[in-house]
Amino acid sequence: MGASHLILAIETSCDETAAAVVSDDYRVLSSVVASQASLHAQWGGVVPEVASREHVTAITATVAAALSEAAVLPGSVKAIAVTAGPGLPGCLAVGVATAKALALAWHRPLVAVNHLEGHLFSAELDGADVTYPAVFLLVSGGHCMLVHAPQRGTYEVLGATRDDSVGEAYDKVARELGLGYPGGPILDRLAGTGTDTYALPRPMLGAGYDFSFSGLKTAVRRTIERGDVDVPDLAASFAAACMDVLLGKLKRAVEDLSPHSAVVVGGVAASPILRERLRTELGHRTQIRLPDLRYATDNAAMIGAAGWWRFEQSGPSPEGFGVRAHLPLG
Amino acid sequence: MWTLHLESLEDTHALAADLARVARRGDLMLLNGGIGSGKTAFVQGFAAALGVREHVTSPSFVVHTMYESGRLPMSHFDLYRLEDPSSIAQLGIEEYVDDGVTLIEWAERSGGFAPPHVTISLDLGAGDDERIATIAATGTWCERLDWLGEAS
Ligand SMILES: Nc1ncnc2c1ncn2[C@@H]1O[C@H](COP(=O)(O)OP(=O)(O)OP(=O)(O)O)[C@@H](O)[C@H]1O
Ligand SMILES: [Mg+2]
Repeated sequence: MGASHLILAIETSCDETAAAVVSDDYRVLSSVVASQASLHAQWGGVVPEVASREHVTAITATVAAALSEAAVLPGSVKAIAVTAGPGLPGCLAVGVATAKALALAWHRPLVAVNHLEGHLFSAELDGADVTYPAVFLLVSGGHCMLVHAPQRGTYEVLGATRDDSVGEAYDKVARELGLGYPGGPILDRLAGTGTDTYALPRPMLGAGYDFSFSGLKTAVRRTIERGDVDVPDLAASFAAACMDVLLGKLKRAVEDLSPHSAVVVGGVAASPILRERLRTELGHRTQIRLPDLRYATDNAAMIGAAGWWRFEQSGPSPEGFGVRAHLPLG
Repeated sequence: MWTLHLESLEDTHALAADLARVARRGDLMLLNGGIGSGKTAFVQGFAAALGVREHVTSPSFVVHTMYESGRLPMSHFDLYRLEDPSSIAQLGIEEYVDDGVTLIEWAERSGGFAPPHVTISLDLGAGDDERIATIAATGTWCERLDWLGEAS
């Protein structure tokens, strides 16, 4: 592989400052993520103002670490990719400004990347391949959507959440159950020890491709307020309701569109319950693809892969591009 | 102070639409009430009546979302994740208020906002779709909500 086929990618859309070096065959030479999680745990959550200032503090060291871990000099980087949206505007601006400055200083082309498209490429890193047409379920703290890709790079958003994302519903229910905040992962673990005994709704399961989790969250609150709940059983019942909806919609998309593969990306792709049920319930119908756990949550390696794809398709992004908080996919 | 019984989601949307009709630049609306009481549902009805084209989703994760496509710019905050009043001060909410209409879910998490504002507190009612709304107004909101006197 020639040293000229490397891209430097930068991602700062939320609370992770990340940089990576990725080759044009989507091999990850380095992927550095400086997480602000402990800082925000102390604040109680992501504060946009604090997060953007934290990106300013961490960005140059993160980029330098990505270059040195990959053992490459700036001279052998062919292009620079950066997340331009969607995300928190002040946070995105730090990454974009840094990428523009590096592109100017190094005389390299710059590619603006959609964060959501980055997630879709997370299952194609390090030699893994997704066969198209594909259906993607993207589920993370801030996103919940079902996407059809007839071919790589072409997207049709089938549906998205009408209210809360799954991750948000998990964190809120965990707090109502007294498991702390953010307690989504604790809730998922506890669910593994309980039994699905509470009758909870499966919102919008029969209706289209959109998701809704606010009614489910409310039903859990009502159950808790009636008193005398078995916490592991209620956790298991809640998790089962969420998975039924996520898998139900993915299954419908697979039946309707007969894709070559079904791909689950985003933080929820790390859930053991989901991984298990995916294989048993959908494995016989289509190829199941999941990202490596490292690339399920926000990272810059996935931005590098999506950046290569965009660069090869349409070259550098126009000089004057800015950040777009609500950038849609496709 | 007004107390209204909302029998259904449609009632909540109708109340929100009534408030959206009298909303002005610089308005601050504080939304309180526990999980699932209908704060985001209220904002969805408010935004639709304001002419916002995007579909409003819960901002609990991102804390703040701006919508520019309606009759007035609409700022939607959610303080759910912010336990500590000093982190809320970091948001600089005041800087957005003059630009349009600002709605804040979990407003009670902050140390309090300077009036004028209108506070809408939502509680779960007996039936699944019933809610009880308590509305408290300060400043010009008192006259603007006169009609609620007859309604309730
Ligand atoms: N009369 C009603 N008014 C509002 N919501 C209702 C009503 N009846 C049923 N609902 C349902 O209750 C749920 C309210 O959830 P919503 O997310 O709006 O609450 P919230 O107060 O914003 O919660 P959170 O504290 O998590 O932000 C929705 O699923 C909504 O459809
Ligand atoms: Mg809400």
